[in-house]
Amino acid sequence: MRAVVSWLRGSLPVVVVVAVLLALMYPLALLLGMPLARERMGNVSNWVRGTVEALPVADATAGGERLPFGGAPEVDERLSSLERGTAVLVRDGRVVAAGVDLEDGAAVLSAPLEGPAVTLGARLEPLAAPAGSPGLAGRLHALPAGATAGAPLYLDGALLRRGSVAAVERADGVRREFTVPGAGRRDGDLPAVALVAGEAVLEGEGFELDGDTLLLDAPPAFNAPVSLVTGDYEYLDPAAGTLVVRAAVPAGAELRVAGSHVALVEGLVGPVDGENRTFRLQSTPVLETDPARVVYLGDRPLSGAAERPQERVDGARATFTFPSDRGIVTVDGREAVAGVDYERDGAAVTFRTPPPRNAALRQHPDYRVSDPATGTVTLAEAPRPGEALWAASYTFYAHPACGETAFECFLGMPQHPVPFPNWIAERLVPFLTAYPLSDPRNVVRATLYTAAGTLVSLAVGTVIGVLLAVAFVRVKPFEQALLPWVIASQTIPVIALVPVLVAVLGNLGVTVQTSLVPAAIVGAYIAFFPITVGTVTGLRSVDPLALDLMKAYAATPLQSFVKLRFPAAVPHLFTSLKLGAAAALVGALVAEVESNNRLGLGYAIIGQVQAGDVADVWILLGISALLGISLVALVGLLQRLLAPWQRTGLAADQGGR
Amino acid sequence: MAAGGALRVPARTGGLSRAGRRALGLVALTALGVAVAFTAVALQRGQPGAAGTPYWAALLGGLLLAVLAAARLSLASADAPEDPAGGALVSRLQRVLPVATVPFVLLLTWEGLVLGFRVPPGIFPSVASIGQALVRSWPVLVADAYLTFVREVLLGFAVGLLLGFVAGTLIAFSAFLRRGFLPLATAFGAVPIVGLAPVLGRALGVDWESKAAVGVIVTFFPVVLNTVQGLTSVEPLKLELLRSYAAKPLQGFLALRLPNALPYVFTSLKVAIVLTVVSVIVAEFLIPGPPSGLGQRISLSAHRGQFDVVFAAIFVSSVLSMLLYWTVQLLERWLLAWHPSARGG
Amino acid sequence: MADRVAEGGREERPTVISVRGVSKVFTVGKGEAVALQDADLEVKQGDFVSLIGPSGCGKTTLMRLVADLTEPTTGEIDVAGKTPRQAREDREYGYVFQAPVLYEWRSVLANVTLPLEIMGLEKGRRRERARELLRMVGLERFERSYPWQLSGGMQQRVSIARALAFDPKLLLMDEPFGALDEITREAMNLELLRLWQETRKTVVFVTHSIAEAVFLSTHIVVMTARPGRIREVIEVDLPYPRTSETRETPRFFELTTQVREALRGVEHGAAPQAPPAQKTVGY
Repeated sequence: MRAVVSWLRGSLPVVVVVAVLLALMYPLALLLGMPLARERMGNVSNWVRGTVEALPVADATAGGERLPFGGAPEVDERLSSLERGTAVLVRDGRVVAAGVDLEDGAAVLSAPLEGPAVTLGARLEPLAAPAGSPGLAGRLHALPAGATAGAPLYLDGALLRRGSVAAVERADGVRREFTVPGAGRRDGDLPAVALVAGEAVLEGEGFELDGDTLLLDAPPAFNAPVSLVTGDYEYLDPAAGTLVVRAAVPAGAELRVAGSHVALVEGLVGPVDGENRTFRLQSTPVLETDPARVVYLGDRPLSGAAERPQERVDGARATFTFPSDRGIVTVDGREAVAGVDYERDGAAVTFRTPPPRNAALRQHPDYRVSDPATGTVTLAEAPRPGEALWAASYTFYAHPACGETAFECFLGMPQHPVPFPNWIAERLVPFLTAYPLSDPRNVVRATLYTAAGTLVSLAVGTVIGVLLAVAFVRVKPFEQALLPWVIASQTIPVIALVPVLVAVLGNLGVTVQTSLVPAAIVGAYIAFFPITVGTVTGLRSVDPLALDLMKAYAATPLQSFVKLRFPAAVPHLFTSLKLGAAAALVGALVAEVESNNRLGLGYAIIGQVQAGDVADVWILLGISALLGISLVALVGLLQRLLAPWQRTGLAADQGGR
Repeated sequence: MAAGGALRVPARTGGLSRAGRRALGLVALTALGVAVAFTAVALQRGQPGAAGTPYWAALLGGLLLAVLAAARLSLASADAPEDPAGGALVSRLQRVLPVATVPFVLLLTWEGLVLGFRVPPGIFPSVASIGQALVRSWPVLVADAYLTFVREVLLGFAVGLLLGFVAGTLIAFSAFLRRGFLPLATAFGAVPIVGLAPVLGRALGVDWESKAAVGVIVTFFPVVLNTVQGLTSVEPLKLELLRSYAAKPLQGFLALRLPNALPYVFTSLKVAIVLTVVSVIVAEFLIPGPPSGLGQRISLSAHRGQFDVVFAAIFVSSVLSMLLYWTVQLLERWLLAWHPSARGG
Repeated sequence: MADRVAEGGREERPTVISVRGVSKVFTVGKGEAVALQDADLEVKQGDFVSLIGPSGCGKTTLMRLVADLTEPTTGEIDVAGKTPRQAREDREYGYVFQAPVLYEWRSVLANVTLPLEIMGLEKGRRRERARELLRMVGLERFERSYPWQLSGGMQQRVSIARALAFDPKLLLMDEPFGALDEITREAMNLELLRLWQETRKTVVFVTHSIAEAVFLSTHIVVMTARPGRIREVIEVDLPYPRTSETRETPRFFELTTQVREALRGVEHGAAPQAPPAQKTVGY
C-alpha cells in the first residue's frame, strides 16, 4: 500500500504537468480557431438570407387612417427598425401614401384611406388529410383557381404569415436527425409541422422535436428538402397551390385569398430634392446581384440590370454601344462621369481615354447598387420632389449561418486548427474501431505493420552499423577516408531520396506500395549512423590496461576482440540502438508516406493532413509517439536481457528522434 | 617530428627521403587512376551506343587504381625519425588524400554506371545532368533555399533555442517541474516528425509558419534536456566555493551554472541544427503549401520525374546544412575554447 | 619574524574560533552516523592548527561546520565572535578545498577575481588585488593562462591565492596538498609557511600526513574515528622559521612519534605497546 502511495506521490508532478498542458489546449484552440470562426462569420456569403417584401395589412377589415401591419414578432421587429417616415403604402403596384409614419406597428395616414384596405377573394379548398396522418385534418388546403402563391391569405380577417426554416444538414438517405436553427424558440402548444420531401408531417406523427433538433421516424430520401414550418403556414407546392396551415382551421372559418390589398413597403432613405441620386436600402448588407430585387420610382419599376456593351474592351477602343440610351456607366465598378470621362450619343458612349483591356464596362439604365455593404443605391436620374422611391422586394444577408456569436460559429466549424482535448477523447474509440482489424485501414493494424517495418530496418541498420564500426576500428584508412563523408551523408534529407528509391525499386519489379523494402532501406539509412558512432565509441572505450592484460595472456587479436572489445562496446551499442530505433521509425514512416504504402501508419497520417477530423490527427500523433516510446522500451528490455551488467546512465538520451 | 617550423626541406642532395617520394608517388598514382576513369566517362558520353569492354576496363581499372593507391598511402607509416620533413609530408598527405579521393571515386562510379548501363534519366540522373540542372535552376533554388533555411530553419532554430533555454532554466530550478516535465520531454521527443507535421499544418496553416514551428519543436526538446542537465550537473565543490563566498543565487547562476551549462547546450545545438533542417524539409513534404521552399521543390520535381533537379536541390540543401553545422561548431570552438573537447584533451 | 612559540603571548590574543560541545549526526538510510561527537576546541589568532586523524574522524566535518557549509546537530560555534553563518556572510574566512576547484572557463586571473566580483569590488581594484595575490604565490606570469595549462601544484596555488582574496582573518584548508606528490608537497609546505608568516593569518589545516602537520603547525588536533572525536591537542614547539632541515631534527621526530602514538590511541607518556620501531629519522 505504501508503495502505491509513494508511486502516486512520485508521479504527481507528471500528472500535474500533463493536466496543465491539456488545460492549455483549450485557450490554444480558441486562440487559433476564433479568428477563423470570426472570418467565417464575417464572410457575408455564408450568411442566412432574408427577404424584404411587401407587407400586407394585418386586418382585412381595417380602413381609415390607421392600418395595422404588425402582429408577429419578426414583423414588429422589422417595422420598428424602419426609419421614421420611410414607410410607403402601395396597392397593386401603385403608391397610395408615401412617407408614412408607424405607430405601434400601424401606419398612420394623413388622410383616410379611400375604400377598404383589403378586398377578399375566394376561399381556399380544404384538403383531406392523408391516410396515416389524421392529425393533419384541417391543416391542408389548396388555393382557389386563379390565385397565385404569394397572394396574402386571411383567416377570419387576420393575416396569415408564411414562414419556414430549412434544416442545416442535407438528407443523405441515412440521416434522421436534423438541426433547424431557431426551432426551439417556437413556443406555444401548437404541434410543430415539418415539411419533408414536399409532404407535411405533424409532430408526433412522423417526427419528434427537441429544442432545435428534429428527429424523423424514417430517414428521408437522398437530397430531400427538410424544413420546419415556423410561420402560420407554408406551401407544400407553390405551383400547385397546396399549403399546410400550422393551426388546424375549424370548419366554418373563412380562409380566403386577398385580391386587391394595401401593402406596406420600404421606402429608400435619402433626400428627394431633384438633385440627390444616392439612396439607401434599409436592410443591409444586400446582395449585389439580386434577381428578386424590385425598386419602384413612384409607380414605375426600375431596372436593376447591368448592361454590357456590344464591343469587346480591348484597351484600344473608346466607343461602345449599349442596349439602352441612358444610365450610369461604370468601369471596373467605378462610376464614370458623363461629360468628363465620356460623351454620350444615344446608346453610344465614347470615352476620353479608352478603358484598360478587359475592364468590366457596364451601363445601369435606372440604378445600381454602388455599395452592397451599406445598401447604397445610386440612381441614374435624380427623383423629383414628391416622387416616392420604394423597394417592392429585395434580398439581404440577415445573420451568419453558423450562429449568432463567434463562439457558436467556432463550435460549428467543420475543421479546427487545434481540438479541445475532450473531442480527442470522444474520437478515440470510434477512430480506432472504425474498421475491423482485418481491414488494412484499421489504425491498429497499420501501426503494427509500421512497427514491423521499423524493426526490420533497425535490424538491417544495426548490421550495417556494427560492420562499418568494426571496419572503422580495425582498418585505419577506412575511417580516415570515409568517416567525414558518412557524416556528410547524414545531412542529406532522406525523404528527398525516397521518390528516387521508389522509382528504382519500381523498375526492379518491386511493388513498393505493399512492400517493406523501402521502409527497410530508408530506416536503415537513418539508423545506421548513430549505431556506427556508438559502436565505434564503445569499441574504443576499452581501458588500455585491460588491453594490456589481454596481451599478457597472449590472446589472439580475435580473442581479444570477442572477449574484451565487443562486450565493452555492448552498452554503448544499446544506447545508440535506442536512438537508432527512433530514427528507424521515422525512416519507415517517411518511406511509407512517399511510396504510398497503404498498409502502414504513414498513409493514415497523410490522409489526415488536410481532410478528416483534427482530433484524429492528434490521435495519430499520440499513436506514433507511443510507437516510438514502445520501440525504445523494447530495446531497453533487450538490453536488460542481453547486457544485464550495464547500469543505466551511461550516456544521456538526448531525446533523439 | 618537425615541430614549430615550416616544412623545411633540408638543403641536401637527393631531395626527399624514400618515404616522402613513395608518398608522392602514391598520390600521383591516385590522380592517374582518377584521370583514367574520368577520361573513360568523358569519352563514353559522346558515344551513342552501349558501353563496350574497353570502357568498363578503363573505368574499373582507373577507379581500382585510385582506391588502392590511396589506401596504400593511408596504411603507410608516417614515422620516419631519420627524416622528419618526409614524415611530416607523409602524415599531411595521409590526412588529405584518402578523404579527398572518396568523392571523386563515388561520383565517377555513379556517372560511370549510369552512362555504362544507359540508365534513363527518369530513373536515375547522371552527375553531369545534375550539374546542368544546378546551373539552370540556380535562381529558383536560391529563392527556395532562402525560404527554407532562413525563414523556416533559422527562425525555428532561434525561437526553439530561446524557448528551450528559458524553459530549461525554469525547470532546472524547480524540483517539481523537473520531476513533472523531464519524463514528458523524453516522451515528446519520441514523436516522429511525420506525426507532428500534420498537426502543425492543421494548427498553423500550410504556409511557412507551420514548418518553422516544426523547427521550433525539434530544437526545443534537445535544448531543454541539455540545458537542464548542464545547469544541474555542477561539481558540488564548485557550488560550495560560492557558498563560502556568500554569493547570492543570481551571482551563482551567472558565474557558475551558466558557463557550466554551455558545453551541454552546444552539444544539443549541434544535434538540433541538423535535425531541424531535416525535419523542416520533411515537413515541407508533408504539409502541402505554396510551391516554394527546398523540400517542396524536391517533392514537386520528384513527382514530375525531374530527378536531376531533385539531386541538385538535395545538393544545395546538404551544403547549406553542413555550413550551418560548421558555423555552430565554429561558434562552439570560439566560446568553449577552454573545454576539454576543444583541445582534444 | 616573531618567535611564535612564546607561550606568554597566546592568552592575550583574541579567540578566532570557539567550538563548544559540537556534535554532528547524519541520518543514513535507517540508521545514524555520528560524524563528530562533543568537540571542544579553541583557536587563537595567529595559530596554525592542523586537524589530523583517520578517515571518518570528523576533521573535514569540523572544518565545514566552522565554515557554515553544514550545521551542527548540537553545540555552539563562534567564528571571530560571530555565528558561523554570520562569519560566512561577512566573509571572515577563505576556504581551500581538496581539489583546486578552479573554473575552467576563466583564466587564472579571472579565477582569483571571482570572489572579489561576488563581493562587488569594482573592476580595476579587483584586477590589482588579484595580481598582488598571484605575486604572493609566485604565479604572476600565468595570469592569462587557463587552469588546464597549469600543473596540479600550480592550480592549488591559484586556489590559495583566491582564498586570500578577501584578506580574511581565517584560512580554512582541507587537505589542499593531498593530491600532490611528496616532493611538490614539501615545497608547497614551505610556500605556505612563508605566506602565513607574511600575512599573519590564522590557519586551520586538515591533513592526513603526520609530517606535514608537525612541520606546519603550532598546534595539532589529533582526532579519532567512530565516533569522530577530538582526542588531544598537541602543541608543537619547533622554532619558526622552519626549513627543510627542521624535518631532520630529533625534536621533529619526537613530535611525529607523539602524534602517531596519539593516533594509535596510546596516552602521551605511556610506554608504547608495540615493539620498538626502528629509529627512522625524518619521516
